Amino acid sequence: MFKDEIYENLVEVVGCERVSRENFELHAYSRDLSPSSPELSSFVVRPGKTEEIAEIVRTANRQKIPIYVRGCGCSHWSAWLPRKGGILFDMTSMDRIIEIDEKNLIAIVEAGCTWFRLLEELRKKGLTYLSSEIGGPAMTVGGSVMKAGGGPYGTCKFGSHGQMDILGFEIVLPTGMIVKTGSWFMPGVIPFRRQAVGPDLTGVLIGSEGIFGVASKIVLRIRPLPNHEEFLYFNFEDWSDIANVGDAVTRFVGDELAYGFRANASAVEPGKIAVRIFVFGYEKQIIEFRKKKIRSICMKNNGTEGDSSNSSGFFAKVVTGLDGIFAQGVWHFSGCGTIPIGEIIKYTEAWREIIGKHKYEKNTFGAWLFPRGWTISVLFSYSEPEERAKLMNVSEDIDTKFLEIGLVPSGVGSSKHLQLYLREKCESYYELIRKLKRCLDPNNILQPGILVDQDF
Amino acid sequence: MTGFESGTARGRMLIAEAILEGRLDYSRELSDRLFTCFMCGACEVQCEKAAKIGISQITKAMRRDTINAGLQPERLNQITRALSENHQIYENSQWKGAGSMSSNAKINEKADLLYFAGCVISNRYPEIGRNTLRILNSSNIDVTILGKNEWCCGNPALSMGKTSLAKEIIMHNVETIKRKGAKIVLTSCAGCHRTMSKDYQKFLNEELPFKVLHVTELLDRLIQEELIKFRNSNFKRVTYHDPCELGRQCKIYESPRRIIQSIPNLDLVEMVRNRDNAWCCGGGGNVAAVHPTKALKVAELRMREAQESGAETLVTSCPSCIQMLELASKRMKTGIKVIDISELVSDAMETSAHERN
Repeated sequence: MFKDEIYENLVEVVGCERVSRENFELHAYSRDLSPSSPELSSFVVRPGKTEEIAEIVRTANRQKIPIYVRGCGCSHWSAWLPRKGGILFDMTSMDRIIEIDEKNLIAIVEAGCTWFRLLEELRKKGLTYLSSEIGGPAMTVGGSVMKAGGGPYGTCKFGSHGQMDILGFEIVLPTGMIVKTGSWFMPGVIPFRRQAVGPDLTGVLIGSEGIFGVASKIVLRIRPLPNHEEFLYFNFEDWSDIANVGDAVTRFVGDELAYGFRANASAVEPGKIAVRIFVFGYEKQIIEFRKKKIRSICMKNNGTEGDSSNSSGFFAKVVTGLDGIFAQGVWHFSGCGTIPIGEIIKYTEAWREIIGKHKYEKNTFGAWLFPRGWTISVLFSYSEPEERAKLMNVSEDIDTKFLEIGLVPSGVGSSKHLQLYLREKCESYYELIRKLKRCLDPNNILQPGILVDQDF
Repeated sequence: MTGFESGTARGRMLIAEAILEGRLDYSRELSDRLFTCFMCGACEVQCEKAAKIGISQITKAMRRDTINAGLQPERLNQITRALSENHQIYENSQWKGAGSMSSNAKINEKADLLYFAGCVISNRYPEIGRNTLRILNSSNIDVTILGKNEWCCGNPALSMGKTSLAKEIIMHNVETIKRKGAKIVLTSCAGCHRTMSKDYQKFLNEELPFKVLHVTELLDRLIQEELIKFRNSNFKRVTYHDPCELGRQCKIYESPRRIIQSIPNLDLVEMVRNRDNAWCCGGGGNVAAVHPTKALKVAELRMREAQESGAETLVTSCPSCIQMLELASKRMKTGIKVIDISELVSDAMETSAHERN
């Protein structure tokens, strides 16, 4: 099919106002937050409904035209950059909240709905979601769930996206078939549970980086908004104390003490570790009890209590807004992934060794606590091109070392380095993903080159 | 407006990067898209919190490049012609500047204070000028005007990227005001105020020879000094719309509110988006000239917020805002009256002894 024919075909499906092939438009969609070079698709399409996605996917499959899927474009691991050109779906055109079911505590949203919009509507009804997204409130629900991300609010208790909060998808498979997962697949049944009959297909899709299908709708568990909030702020000097605190806070499985728990230290002062805690609970008495318990745990582990507004302000801003976060320069993440609860020390030691070797101090080591594990990352800042070249060397060392000592990477995207690592070190697991991909997408049209390599 | 990324600040910056790196050329379609930006500055308010990128300046620079490349949207030709030939944005040979509204006012040949009406007030809303001059006369403040020698402030030319034309206009205005000997230039237009107070200096080798005041700043001061006294207002419940060029771009948020709150029998209610996150009226950035339907949609969104506030009247302090919001109000049949702050003040102002004499 020639480009003009493809364009006319797309216009027929979604209308001319929702398709662009203008050069300037393709450039506007050519980058995410990663340092990857710009990549251009041939068309940008803003679908309005699931059936439009299905029709386009069917045609693309017949013609072997690649499709990439983008939410708000905030990925920092080249999650959707159209390396093979083709069609780029901008899913922000499907941003509606379909239903908020207060009785059953479920929300159904289109995949392009942002966390901000969802939270705004939930709060009007005295409700909230389980876990937030570190990428911020402008990220789409679909993008977050396809990455299985997690963030400041709720992750310590409920885990990252997909662990407790996702109950089902409506998804368009690469063949154009539309499927619902969870109990949602059964006619007339509300999507009240994630795994219904047979295998947990919802779980297969979470974190799949969009390679198995285009998520059009997502069902989430929601919960009441607590009337009361409490925060704590502590300073520590030793990461082994942080490891002990993290273990104690999440020791009683199902009764984790905090919604959010963040520990971070700057390379300038690696021995000064700030810990910000958002205490979990619905009732004031119970929250106060947990607060006392956390305080006792921190103090037993050599923590010094500081002003709790350092925590409350932090959690409020990270979820809702920016304030000088790029003051030191542009961000670059490395060493991103998850580790078991007791292993944080070996990563902080590796970090200190590497930044000491390179003498590069514009970075921080950060860790978010989740049930029995940590999500860690090293955040670099740079403002001059010359700094970037040096930073990339340090970053590569950190990525390599962290993987070597056991990091479970999050967000593979089109990283050749990570794909090769998975292929060589996690052969059977990676081969299973590739087999599923071959089965669902034999023509490899959906997100080619993302998560799995292209010559599969 | 378009839904596509090129309509966002982020997308426009990626386009600028591609142009600078030689990966993308200008085109008529890109030029058209650049004129979907209202230059409201909302993106810069958010960007300032994280990084300091001059998004508006970069957008204007791209507009300038497209115009220099002969790719100006055709709908701007009329304004460009009017500016070049008549020195204001309307093709109106009766142009008199503030002279068109001063027949009942006491105007001095020379004074420290000069009232600069601007294109929109002179041609479309002379009552704003009349009200303002009345207030000044009533407060016993000497005022002069430029009359036919008043040219457009230069804002539309700058916004289009027509820097040479803007410079010609600016130099004329500065010299003419200098010859008048005025120390303060007063304007009722947010666009004129922002351009004169922030952009004029960039074109001069010397310091700007006069101070620029918006009428809300002066009225606020006069009220605080009790030079204006009020009786009960005939308006009941009003909301205030922050013009982008007065609010976000000049940080003047509270003066107009203090004015409103000092008028007895008047209730001020806020729209859900106000001050630095106020929604644009759709009148800025020359968008209404190039994409009138889209601009009106934006205005209608703002009028919906006015409806939701419960106000019967929307007050603002920019004639371009009045133009857009009045049109939106009529189309939506909201019944909400859109007025300038000078009308609100003039309505409630007690007749001074000076005025009685």
